[in-house]
Amino acid sequence: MCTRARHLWLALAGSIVLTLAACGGDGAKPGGEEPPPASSSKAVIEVQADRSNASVGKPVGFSVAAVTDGTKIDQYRWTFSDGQRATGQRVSASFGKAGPVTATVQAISGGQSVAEGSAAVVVMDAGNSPYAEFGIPSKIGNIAGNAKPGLVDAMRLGQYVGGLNTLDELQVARADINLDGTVDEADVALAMQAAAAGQELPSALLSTQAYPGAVVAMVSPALLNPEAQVGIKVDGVASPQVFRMLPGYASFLVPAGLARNAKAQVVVSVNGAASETLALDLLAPLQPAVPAAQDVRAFFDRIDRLMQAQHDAIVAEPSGLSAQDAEQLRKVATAGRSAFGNARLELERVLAGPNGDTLAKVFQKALLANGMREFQAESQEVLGKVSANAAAGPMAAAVSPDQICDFVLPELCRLKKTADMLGEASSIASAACSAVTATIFIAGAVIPADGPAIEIGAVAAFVKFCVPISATLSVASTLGEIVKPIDPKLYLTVSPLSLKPGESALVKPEVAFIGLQHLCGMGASQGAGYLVKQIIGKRVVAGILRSNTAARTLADFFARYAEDLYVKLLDGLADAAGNALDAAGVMGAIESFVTNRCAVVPAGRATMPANRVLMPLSADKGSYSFNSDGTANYNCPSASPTSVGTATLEASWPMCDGLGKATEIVGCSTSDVLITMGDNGSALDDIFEVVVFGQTVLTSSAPVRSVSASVPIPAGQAEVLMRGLAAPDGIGTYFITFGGNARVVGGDALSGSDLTPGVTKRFIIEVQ
Amino acid sequence: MRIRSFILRSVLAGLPLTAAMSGAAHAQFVGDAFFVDPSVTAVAGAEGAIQVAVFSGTQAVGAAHATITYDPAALEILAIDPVAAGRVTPAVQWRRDGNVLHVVMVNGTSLTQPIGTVPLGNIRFKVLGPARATTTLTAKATEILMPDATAIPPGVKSYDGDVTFVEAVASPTPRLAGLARKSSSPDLVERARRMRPAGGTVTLQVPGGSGQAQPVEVRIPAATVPRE
Repeated sequence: MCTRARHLWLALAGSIVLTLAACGGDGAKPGGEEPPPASSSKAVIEVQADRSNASVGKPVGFSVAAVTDGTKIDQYRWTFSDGQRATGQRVSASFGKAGPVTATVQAISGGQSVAEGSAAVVVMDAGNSPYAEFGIPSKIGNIAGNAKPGLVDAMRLGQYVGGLNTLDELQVARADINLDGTVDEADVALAMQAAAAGQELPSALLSTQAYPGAVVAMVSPALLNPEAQVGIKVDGVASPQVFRMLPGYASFLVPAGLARNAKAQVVVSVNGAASETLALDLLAPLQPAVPAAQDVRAFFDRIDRLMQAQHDAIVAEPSGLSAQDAEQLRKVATAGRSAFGNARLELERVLAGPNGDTLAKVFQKALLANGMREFQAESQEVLGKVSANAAAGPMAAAVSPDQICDFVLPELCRLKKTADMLGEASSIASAACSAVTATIFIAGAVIPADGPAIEIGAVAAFVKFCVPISATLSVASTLGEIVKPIDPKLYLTVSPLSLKPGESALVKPEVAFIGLQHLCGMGASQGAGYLVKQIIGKRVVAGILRSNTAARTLADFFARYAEDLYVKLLDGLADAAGNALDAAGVMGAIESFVTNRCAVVPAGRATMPANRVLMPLSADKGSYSFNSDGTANYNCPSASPTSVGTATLEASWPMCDGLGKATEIVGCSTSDVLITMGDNGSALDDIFEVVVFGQTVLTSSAPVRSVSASVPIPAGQAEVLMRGLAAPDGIGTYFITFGGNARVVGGDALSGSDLTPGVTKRFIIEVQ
Repeated sequence: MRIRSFILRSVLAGLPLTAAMSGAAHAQFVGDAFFVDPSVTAVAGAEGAIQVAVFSGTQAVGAAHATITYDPAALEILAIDPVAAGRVTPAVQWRRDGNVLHVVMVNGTSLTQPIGTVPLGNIRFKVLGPARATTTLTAKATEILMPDATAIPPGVKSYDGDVTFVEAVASPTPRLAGLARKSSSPDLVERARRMRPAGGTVTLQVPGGSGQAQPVEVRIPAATVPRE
């Protein structure tokens, strides 16, 4: 029996050290494969790479050390995952292609392998993404395609999220700066941060809050150089594990035992020199409230319920699909659940095995550190909504405004929410696995250095459980993942906005499915296989970044799956579930699924039923009359002494991320007031602007003699401001007039020569 | 140069219509970053705010980047908050780099608004300096984009703003613009000259002996011979 595992695994700063010990036949190969047959000799070897990251074409040194029971090691034979071979105790290799690589070494004695170990390195190419085929592009953040990202990228991203423009496939991929699979306000903020810093990438933690023991991902231009040696300290304590797999990105384990600090400092060092400091809200560690094994089981039970919900959503919504396609999708969902069930059985074996109690405690602590409690609370809410949505029934083939409310949004949100939660569960489980392995092999990650000893056999079983669980969750939730980037937003358009008493305006509540056009376009142009590969691949890559499962796991994963990620994952599911899944058939079924949804869900804005989404108006604010096409007419109150100047119209309906709201303000007794202003001095050299209700309504870019605007202003008194902006000779000669149904009742002179920069004239007008 | 006049379809909706007309051949002020109220007061040890904006003339602004130089020993920057420009409230992000703040505004809600004076953000700070002291901030536009990504050339000139620190009073005396005394003191004129274009007028907050500040109106000398 081995001694404490942490004695076997050395923590060397900046290098990946993975050892497989021929330890009474109890050695483990991460990934669930059995160790090679060992001779009766006892040997333990330690393998290390001199760096965890390398550039394409740059040499990396590998070395191996052995502790034996006296057996003489005759030779060390190295095999690299790209096919290279070498012999010797210290070797060097360079790699021509970006991606994770594994160096495996066998200790040979008497012609037999007596021990085997491996180390992994992530090879990066700053100019090219190692995972382009999985939707992770190079030049993340560079949307406009200029030499360097900048303000224009932030603006285009902001306009995309605001529904003002569209982006192509590559632009959308590059816009997902935080790699969470969704392009949203968080990405806009990151792009703006990069623009503010004048950098290619922002410097930011992708989670601003974390518990000790959690995995936190970050992005920084300081991480763009693959050769840079990166160290991270949190409040002065070095992270026990820093992991890099993409240029510009890293993830790290927040050291355990740190005290709560809302302004904790994360100091990033590159090649030994402090590069930047970022703020992290360090949360107080959660204390376990229930027995460890029970808590861990409850976590996986919750995932099981989500998978059930996803399964039900897929099985219950075959509308528009052939029976064969529907059956294929059902098989995927069923196989996913079965595979997950098998992984859970593995977990039960771990918990029942040697050191099961200790592992449960460590795993519970790691799960808590990585957001298990938050997940449980949120998933409870999601499951409640999923049930409510499911009660709405199947989606019809044609879409009316009512069906948008009753079927399209619920179905979309149901899949989106379950995909979100399953993705989160996958990240929590992977991060916890990573934290546990770090805990076991690197003292102090989650449990203190003087904590309980854990045997290598228990660790091996644990790793065997951990590696497939996240892949299982990923592929099992593929269909939900497809809709995840789609973000429905509620809009309200009213025309015209300026009315007189008794007049009416057309009111149109609409929903826009931001991201749908991109998705459908991608599916149509490239096919379902491409779509699925992109989506799953990106999820897996981004998930690994966020869960810091270390280079070896990554290398293992890609060695097994990368050639055709989806097909191999599907095969894995089929094997695990004892299910016959035909990859081509499943691809076809997914294509039908996407095609159907794209045909049914409008790519642009779709009308929502006004009679259901508009909030009631009080009697004095006017009334609605509803039209058969889903629109409404807003009717201003008739003229009376109490008639309103403005009315706020509000639409409200549940969207995927909560109650969506949109408002519009209508003027009910407005008149168009013609405002004319200009520089009427002998020299044309002054610039002014006119402001009504806090908004510039009239100005010029250069001095003008006269310029006009017709401005609807509610009946009654209104304040109009005129500001001087330029008067180089110190004389701001101005005039302003008000036409239409307005008359000036007070304020400053309507003309003069003192409207210089910094001076504001105020006019009170009365609008009939 | 062609000048656009803007007819707002509705002030309430903020949708401008444009009509072209001829105008003078040179633009002034367009592309400049400046402080909306360039001279403000804040109580020593307490929080205060000063708003920074750019002027875009008749062009709508899609995004803007400006720098604010300040004295970290006098002010602790707490946040830069978004400011509504009519119905449009653009997003704001900022970054501190030594004594320079980088402020980035992105407008993802309208392709036609805002125009004219476009607020970038409201800089909230905590006063670190003593009462009766004045600290200067300097704003400079770095990049301004219209919604179609056409650049509005940033102004070459930077403009100052300043914060005068005052003592807290139980019941502050209301300050009225009309009460500002006028001054042509060279140092005050020089101070004002860095805040507004030539020929402008600035109401400066000038520390008084009581620990409070007095508003003083200062005319900035003309850049050209007065011709009206």
